[in-house]
Amino acid sequence: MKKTLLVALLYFFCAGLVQAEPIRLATTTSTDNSGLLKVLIPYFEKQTGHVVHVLSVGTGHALRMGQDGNVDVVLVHAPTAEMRFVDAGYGLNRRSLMYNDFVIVGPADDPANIHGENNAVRSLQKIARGKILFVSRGDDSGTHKKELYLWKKAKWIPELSWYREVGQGMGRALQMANELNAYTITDRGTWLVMRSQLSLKLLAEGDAELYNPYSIIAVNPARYPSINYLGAMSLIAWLTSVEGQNRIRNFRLEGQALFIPTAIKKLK
Amino acid sequence: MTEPLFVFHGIEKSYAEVEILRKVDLSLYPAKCILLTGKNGSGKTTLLKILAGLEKPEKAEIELSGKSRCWKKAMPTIRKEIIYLHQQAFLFSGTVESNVSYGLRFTTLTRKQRRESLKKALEWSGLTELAKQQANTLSGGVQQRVAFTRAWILKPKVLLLDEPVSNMDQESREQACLLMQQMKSAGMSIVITSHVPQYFGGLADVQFDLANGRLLQ
Amino acid sequence: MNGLLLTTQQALQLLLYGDAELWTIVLLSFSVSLKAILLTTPFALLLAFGLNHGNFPGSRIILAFFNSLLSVPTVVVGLFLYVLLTRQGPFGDLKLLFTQSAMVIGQMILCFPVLVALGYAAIQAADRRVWETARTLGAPTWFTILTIFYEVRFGLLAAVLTGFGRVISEVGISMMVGGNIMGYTRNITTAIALETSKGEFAQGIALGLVLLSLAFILTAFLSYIQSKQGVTK
Repeated sequence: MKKTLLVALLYFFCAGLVQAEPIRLATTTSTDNSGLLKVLIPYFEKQTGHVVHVLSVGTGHALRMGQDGNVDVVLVHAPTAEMRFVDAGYGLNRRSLMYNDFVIVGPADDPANIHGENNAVRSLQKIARGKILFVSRGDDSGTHKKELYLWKKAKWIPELSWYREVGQGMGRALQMANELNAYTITDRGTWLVMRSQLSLKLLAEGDAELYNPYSIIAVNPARYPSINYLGAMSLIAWLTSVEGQNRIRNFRLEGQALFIPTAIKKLK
Repeated sequence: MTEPLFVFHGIEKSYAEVEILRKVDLSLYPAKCILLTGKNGSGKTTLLKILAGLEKPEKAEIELSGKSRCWKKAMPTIRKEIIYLHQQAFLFSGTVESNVSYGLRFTTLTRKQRRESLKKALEWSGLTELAKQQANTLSGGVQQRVAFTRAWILKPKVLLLDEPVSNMDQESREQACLLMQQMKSAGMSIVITSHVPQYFGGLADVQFDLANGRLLQ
Repeated sequence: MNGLLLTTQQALQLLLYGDAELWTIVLLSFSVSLKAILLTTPFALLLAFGLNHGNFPGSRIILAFFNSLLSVPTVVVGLFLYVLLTRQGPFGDLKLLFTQSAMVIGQMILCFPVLVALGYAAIQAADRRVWETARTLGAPTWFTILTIFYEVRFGLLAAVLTGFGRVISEVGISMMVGGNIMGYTRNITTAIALETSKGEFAQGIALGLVLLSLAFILTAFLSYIQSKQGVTK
């Protein structure tokens, strides 16, 4: 009896200590929340035998993780930050992966009257002028960076009286916007998942400025020799292959296509 | 005159600048019983604990095979032969059996021998029926018997009994004295402290009084 | 109110129909926290014993130190550990960040003070005569310590349960050094944080229910122990 207990204890502690080296992928919450990776990764793992650990945090945090060498590859949607990342030598082999778009949602009665115009900058200006409640992610995420870029273009500095920086994930931010009856910018994926629970309506879309491109970047192994560079490159190769790109294109959320693959110019 | 088992010289002990024991000498003979009397707080318990190796004296010497050795070096070797029993029998949580057999696991007896030993010891003190009883449900007198048995089973050379029959009714007292007589007949050297020396008239071979840190006959 | 009832209903369904993802998360919580407690208890209790019987000058300061750590915010421990384990940090080469081992280490740091402080209190309540009786009957030091532990076992068990309660419900450490990786470092508390950030309350509530039931069971067990303790004394 004592012997079996001892063996069981040993197993409990040691199982899982010896494992194949995983590939650590840092990505953004909106990417992960769309469920795309949950569908894609298993195919990759099965075909290559690799194990992928997905860490989903804000874009800023994901890039920081790459910079600190705590992950092997990053998948984010913040072009300016990405280019700075590569220029600084933190990342290699940046490949364009796919895109989707952002949309502006708000109260059903549309007090700022932005519906139909489909111009992001002008919509924000109208909201600002009317001092209508606006919820911001406020967390250095890709969505947040896009939102800040648009405010800059609109030449408006949002004021505390109507601007709410919530520092939360997209789902939570949408719920808060719903509670406050406020406008907010969201990625289409999260909107598709959440819209049935909310009384907010989609009021602006399609503007080129709302374009949301995703890239995947391998962390530079020259800085941290223990980085799983081969694993990272193998993941990038698969995601940008015909099969990977097709799977991205065929991904459906709430019955709608969400991502458009961009790695291969003429995908059949 | 038989050889003493252990001879203690010059035991000195102080607590917070107060001298409790001043150069106490004591010899322990087999099959003999020493009765130690003295006021409360005179240091009887302290002396017994020092003899058992449970407290450290300021100075003390022990004679081993003719040679005098300091307490520190000699105690570890003789500790196994000396058992101290507290004033109010202290039993571990558990059954009578688990208490009595506690010390057996430190001997070199086999499992079978231990069971035999336990059986015989319980018979010796008449505890066989109570073997599986929880120790804390027993009366004071029975608890004392369990404590005696727990020491008896290890066949020590010396037994130090601190106020062994205080707070006992006459019947329990007589039973306890019977057991102590048997332990003495078996060759053990017994030291008893008590502030009612009358109880031990037939048992004690010599009586000492501890006063002002000195032992007087 | 309707929304809440619906969500709770969904939550119960998830739990009862054995949603695999959900139960993976629950088992992970237990696995990590159990390891932390099992690895910490022997050392913490030995230290508690040493502080009790050591009589060395620093013991009071050490005890005060552990008492002060009893309610340290878990995010602080998590942050501290993150800085140590990050690739650029002093222990970066061990590659422990974002692993279960990191979570276990963090939780060990968290429950160690609890076990020392409460263990100390339990051991202090032990009768001095236990030590003396055990010694005089021939017990070597290590067995004497075990005997004392047995005598105060209810108090020690309460200490262990309290420590376990502290680690099974922490989120600051698991989130920071675990990384909330699905199937690998996602436990009950980090999953709740994630699900609520997504606005998926059903899953969050389901997990919350598991945690609440566990807290309830632990508390009930603790009271039962304390009542037993009353009887034997």
